[in-house]
Amino acid sequence: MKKIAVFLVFCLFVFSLEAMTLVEDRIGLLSETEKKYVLSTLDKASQESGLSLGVVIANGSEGKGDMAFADDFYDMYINDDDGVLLFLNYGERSVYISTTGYGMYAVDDSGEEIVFDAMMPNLERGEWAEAFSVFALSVLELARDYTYSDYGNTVYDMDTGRFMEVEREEEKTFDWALVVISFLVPGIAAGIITTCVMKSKLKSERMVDNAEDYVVPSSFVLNVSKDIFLYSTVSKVKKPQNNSGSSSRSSSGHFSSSGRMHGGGGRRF
Amino acid sequence: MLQEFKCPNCGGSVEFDWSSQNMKCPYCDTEFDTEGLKEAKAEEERFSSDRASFEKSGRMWQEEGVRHYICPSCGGEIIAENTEAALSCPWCGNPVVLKEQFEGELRPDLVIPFKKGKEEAKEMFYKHLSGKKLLPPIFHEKAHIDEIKGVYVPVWIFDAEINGHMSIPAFRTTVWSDAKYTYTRTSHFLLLRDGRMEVKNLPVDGSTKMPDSIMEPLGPWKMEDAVDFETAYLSGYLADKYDVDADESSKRVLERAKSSVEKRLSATIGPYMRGPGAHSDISMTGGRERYVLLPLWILRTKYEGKDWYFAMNAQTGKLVGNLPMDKGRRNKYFLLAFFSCGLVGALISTLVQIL
Repeated sequence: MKKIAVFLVFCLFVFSLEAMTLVEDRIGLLSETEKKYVLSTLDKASQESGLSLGVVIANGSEGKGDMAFADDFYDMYINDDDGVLLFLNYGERSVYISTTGYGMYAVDDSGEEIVFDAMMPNLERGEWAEAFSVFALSVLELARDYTYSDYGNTVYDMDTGRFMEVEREEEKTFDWALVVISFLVPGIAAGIITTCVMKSKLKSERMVDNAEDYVVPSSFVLNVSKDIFLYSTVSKVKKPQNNSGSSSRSSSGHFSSSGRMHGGGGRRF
Repeated sequence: MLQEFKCPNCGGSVEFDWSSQNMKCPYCDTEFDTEGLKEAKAEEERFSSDRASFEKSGRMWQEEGVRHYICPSCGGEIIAENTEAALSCPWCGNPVVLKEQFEGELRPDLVIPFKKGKEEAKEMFYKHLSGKKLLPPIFHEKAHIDEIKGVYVPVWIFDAEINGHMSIPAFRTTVWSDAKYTYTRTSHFLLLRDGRMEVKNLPVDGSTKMPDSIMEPLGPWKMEDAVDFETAYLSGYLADKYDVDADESSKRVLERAKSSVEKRLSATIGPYMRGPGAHSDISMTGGRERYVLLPLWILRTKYEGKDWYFAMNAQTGKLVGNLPMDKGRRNKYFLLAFFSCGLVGALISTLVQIL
């Protein structure tokens, strides 16, 4: 009995660490088949990106507004540090994306626009399952471009709404190879230079390949000076673009009723 | 014909003394004015046909590459190479001058008399050996510095006008940029430059026995010390006549002048950057050459089966000559430097990592 209890606690612990997916259809918009299809797409995107992903469909926002409804729903039913939730307000014909943690970084303000743009054709045609699938895949694409490790090197600045890069102190380890190289390279160089200098003092015989000692001072006269233009070439080099991402990610952040930091944005269709 | 200068006072052989710049008898220390002694010698030779001793002396016969003479002092046989012009009799040690080596076209225009004596030469040579950490210590003993010899070396001294023409590939670059790209325009040119310069008193070795790699770094020579040639200056020293003529020697003038002309022409390219593949062409005009004897102190020595050759400019004191290297000492200094610097490097690397 004791062993079973320990095993169950272990499972809870492990599963609570993994990202989760959720589809909540409160108005029966999706058939069971469509729901399974959407879930499988969300699972795939969630496994690869490490984000918890969810879709909630309702007729309204219960008077809270889309942002608060989506934030509260996420905090209550998903409750993961890193996630993205899509709220379809069927009655208002609007969609809202709520993000948190790594989700705020991967799907920032510009990322939200990319996701909405991708979903719009399907939403306008009423192709709900397809729209939700596009949502999942778009989030996955963004997560591939803006990875968790990139996010790990940033700190969110509430005042500017930007993710700022931070320098992390690297763990110091003693490198013996460096010590050996620092012994050998200067040692060999010093040995060679020293003996070469000493050896050069033994040599004084040489051919003198100039007549500088015998040129009459100020006797040089330039008679002809002609510059002939031949041709010209032009080359160009592209200037490096700042694509690092971290310092250009910006997400308008706010706190939900539970006190968690969320980002997000919405659109009507 | 052999020429020997006898002291009117004691009959000893008179030699040229570098310190007083006069002829001096080493036996009775009497000094003679060079011109005066020459005149006296000329008077003596006017009556030489009546003197059996002079008839006997000066007889010579030749084998290929060498000449045979009879010493006028002791009657001993002297064998001299074809280029030798002043030497010591191997039997009695008296200096003799082979006059016919300096007659007619072979007569030098000028000679720079010795300004540094043998003792000073030996001192300079010891100084040359000092401070050379890789020199085998035993070389000091094996060098036989006492065997240093005073020698007059034949050279051709050239004054000439050197004309140079160069074609130099060159380029200039301009850089600008816009929001997306950085642009570089490279403009290519061919620069043509013609110029001339004068060289004066450029010496070229006129003897195949004297390596150019020793003769050339011994310069420059102060030609203001040169005097009109007289055989009297050679007495007490060895001398050779030239075996490389002026035409052959002039080629070396062009070789040496070429880099000096190129350097001056290249300096006129102004704002351009020089590219590879420059060509130059130089010629020598309007010059003159003079046949001059220059004074050297020379030491030839053997060490570990190899010949080592040293020469000192007997006018300025400059000394040239390669020295042997002790491999054991070289390895010792290599290891010393290796360990000292290696330890310092390792210590710095360790401290940087720790701190």
